[in-house]
Amino acid sequence: MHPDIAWAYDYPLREVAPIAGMIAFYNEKLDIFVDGALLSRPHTIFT
Amino acid sequence: MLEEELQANRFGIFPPAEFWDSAAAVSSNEPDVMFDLGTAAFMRGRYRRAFQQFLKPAAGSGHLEAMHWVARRSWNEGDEPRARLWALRAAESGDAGEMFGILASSHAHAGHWSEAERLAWDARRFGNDDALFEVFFRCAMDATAGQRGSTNELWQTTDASAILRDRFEHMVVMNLVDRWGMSGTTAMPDENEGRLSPRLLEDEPLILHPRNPYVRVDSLRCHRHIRVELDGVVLAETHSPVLLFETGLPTRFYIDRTDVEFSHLEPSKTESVCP
Repeated sequence: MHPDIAWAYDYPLREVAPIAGMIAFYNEKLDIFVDGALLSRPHTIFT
Repeated sequence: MLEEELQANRFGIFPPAEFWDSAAAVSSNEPDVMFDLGTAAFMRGRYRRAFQQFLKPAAGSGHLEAMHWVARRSWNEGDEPRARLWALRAAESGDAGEMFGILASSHAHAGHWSEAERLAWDARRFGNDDALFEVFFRCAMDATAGQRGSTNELWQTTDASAILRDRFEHMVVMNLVDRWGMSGTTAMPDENEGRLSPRLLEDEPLILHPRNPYVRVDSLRCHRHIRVELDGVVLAETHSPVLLFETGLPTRFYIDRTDVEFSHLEPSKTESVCP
């Protein structure tokens, strides 16, 4: 089990309204492929 | 007239780059002032500037509290060697609180709760309560998530709950406010009457802290192909993500719930606030 790997905002700030209800995964903790290319895992305060 | 007042007000809240630059130039020989400027910048969301321009130089000049900040920042960024280095320097200057704190944090990170707790109490002996808070908070989170251990034993064998009560109450208040639909509003119990009073920026609720005016956020729907994997297991795959760009952070890929494989996911109790 991996804790806290994704998040969502049901009521986001109006500036980012399009993300309401959608799910995002931590780039820091998972393998994310964009158009088939694997992204490197960045090192941030959320690592 | 009104325009001038609003401009002045905004300037007070968000000083321009020139202010910070000249303040740093004028105050570079005064670690106390540099530290105050650094924490002021931090509280305005200017994290990078706070550390690069003020807190690191202040720490370098031997300001103990600045060393704590830099050590803690390094730890939060995952740079444990640097965190230990600064904590050690603080210890050499006569304050071992942060060194015990970093050690406690690293044991808590590994799930070694009894060692973490013991070191956190050592940190407290040197005036550093942060580690105790982190150890108990992390332990509570893991217990909630069914990860490991139980906080109950820790709570019963120590009086940490009393020491940390104020800080936990603050978090509970924030969660309560969240549930009332004032999503993420920073509210503090009113000092006099114990009521919740949201902090305002003009007439809008202030969320955590004023936003850094030099950070731009864009959210754009697109048709890129995004696949999210963990240990080779596909957790989500979509051809219509929303890309969220935010200055200084990696691009975040928001995915429609219908494209997420929920059979591999369980709800978390973690809640946080983001300005």
